[in-house]
Amino acid sequence: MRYYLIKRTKRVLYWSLMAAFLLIQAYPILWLLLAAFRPNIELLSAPFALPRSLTLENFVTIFTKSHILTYIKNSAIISFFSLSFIVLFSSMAAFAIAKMKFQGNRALYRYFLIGLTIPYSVTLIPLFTMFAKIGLIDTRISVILPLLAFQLPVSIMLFVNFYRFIPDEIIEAAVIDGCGIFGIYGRIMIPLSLNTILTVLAMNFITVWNDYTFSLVFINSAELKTISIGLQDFIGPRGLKDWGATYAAIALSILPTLLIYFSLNSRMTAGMTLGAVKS
Amino acid sequence: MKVLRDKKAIALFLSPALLVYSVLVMIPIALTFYYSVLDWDGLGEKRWIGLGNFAKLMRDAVFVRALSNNLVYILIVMLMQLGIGFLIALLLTYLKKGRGFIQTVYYIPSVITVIAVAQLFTSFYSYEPIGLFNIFRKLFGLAPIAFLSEYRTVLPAVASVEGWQYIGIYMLIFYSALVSVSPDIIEAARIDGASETQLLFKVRIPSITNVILLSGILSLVGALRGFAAPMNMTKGGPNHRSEILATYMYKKAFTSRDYGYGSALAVVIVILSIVAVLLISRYMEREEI
Repeated sequence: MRYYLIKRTKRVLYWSLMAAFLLIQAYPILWLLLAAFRPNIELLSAPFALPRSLTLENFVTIFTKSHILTYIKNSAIISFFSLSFIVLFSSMAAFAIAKMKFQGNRALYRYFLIGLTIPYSVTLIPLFTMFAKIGLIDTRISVILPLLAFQLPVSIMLFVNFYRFIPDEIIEAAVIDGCGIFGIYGRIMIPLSLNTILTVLAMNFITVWNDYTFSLVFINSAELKTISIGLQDFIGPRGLKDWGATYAAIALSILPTLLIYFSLNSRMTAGMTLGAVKS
Repeated sequence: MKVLRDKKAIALFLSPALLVYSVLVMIPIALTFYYSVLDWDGLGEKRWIGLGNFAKLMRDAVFVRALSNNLVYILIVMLMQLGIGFLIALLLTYLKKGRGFIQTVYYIPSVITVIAVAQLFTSFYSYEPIGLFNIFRKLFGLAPIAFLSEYRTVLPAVASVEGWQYIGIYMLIFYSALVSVSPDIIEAARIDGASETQLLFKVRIPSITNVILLSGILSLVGALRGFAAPMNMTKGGPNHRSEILATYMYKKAFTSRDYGYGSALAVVIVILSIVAVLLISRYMEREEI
């Protein structure tokens, strides 16, 4: 009897803990997605009560009265170019590190891995002066370049981890068949690593799309702003903030990453636990 | 094989990544050290002042506050991510159904922009109109607090944003480590009469120390990169109570245009990061990377 009671208390405790954590983790996001569809007046008077009415008015506001589409376009362009170069450069370097034979191989790999620990903030001043000198400030390139550079280490790590799994015999066989080094890379390694490429793309897309720091420092003009910076447009002077529009804009801005996450969920979490690195 | 020793090919494969990474990450760090001994506004003449900026740092009360805030910030972020992440992972190992769903939900915050999370929490912390946290306080009969303007609460409030956002990542890492502990060992311990608590501290945790260490390093590195949340929510205020080194550096460099002083602050961040680098290389040595 007593044993039974203890067991039951444990069960209750377990489930209440589970429920509490689930609530803490899921509620804010659900609330946000719902708030995007609630009239502004309700968000001002009783934001956390159950919604009484839903509306598309907030989305009409952000599409007609804000530059959100421009910001999304800018983030998309920056993401496209950063991701293309990240995949190309990191797969090439990882191939050399994992499969080719040269001295200092391991040291070079470590040199790249140092990048995993470097905060963006320590490079901002030199990057700004560099970019200013060659006229890159306030261009999309000034955001693409540092994102590319900072995302190389984690991407190289993911590719190296995968390439090491590819048996050398495959390469040997290809060489015997007359395959050159570029053939090995382009016709063997790349096709074999499509899954890794997908992981690298998904993980990096999250970081690149969500970038705040580089856009904040290097972009000035409104027409080049990215989505993270653009979200601040809706914060007016104290009390004048259009909450409904803010939530609609936030909901829209997180939509692409959520879509990527839900479609590539297992690939991404695989990358996270293997690379185990976040933005 | 000769083809794998082709020097030209090696150089070709390595040079794009090496060039971009060196020029845009490593050289700027070296330049940061160089700028830190200068009196320079970024435009005019560079004047060498030796350790002048660092001497100024020591006397700068805001710097001392930013540094101590930063350590507290790192501590809060790491405690939340590792502590809660581990607890949830542990609870999940007892779950038989619906694990995938719960993991997916927990992970969602990690994929959205910090700014969205920061904005969201700003409204939760709000005093007027009353935010979620103050509704809870009222339920328990407590007076509402303006979380982001009170000296006492602003730093934990801002740090919790990053702490909360990435719990899912650590939950996932810990979970995959915990379930990879051999069921045979656990079964053997159970047969020997080990309680669940003993099982946890004597078997499970000792078998995943490596993963715990790695997670600690990752969380530290992530916390050191913190910038967007305090910048977006409070800009370091009120009265520098949520100022961390990165926000202070940003203001000194890009608002006051004091590049030398800003770089000296960046050097301090580099030194903190070196601790992280040393930890990581110790880890790699053990794992033989």
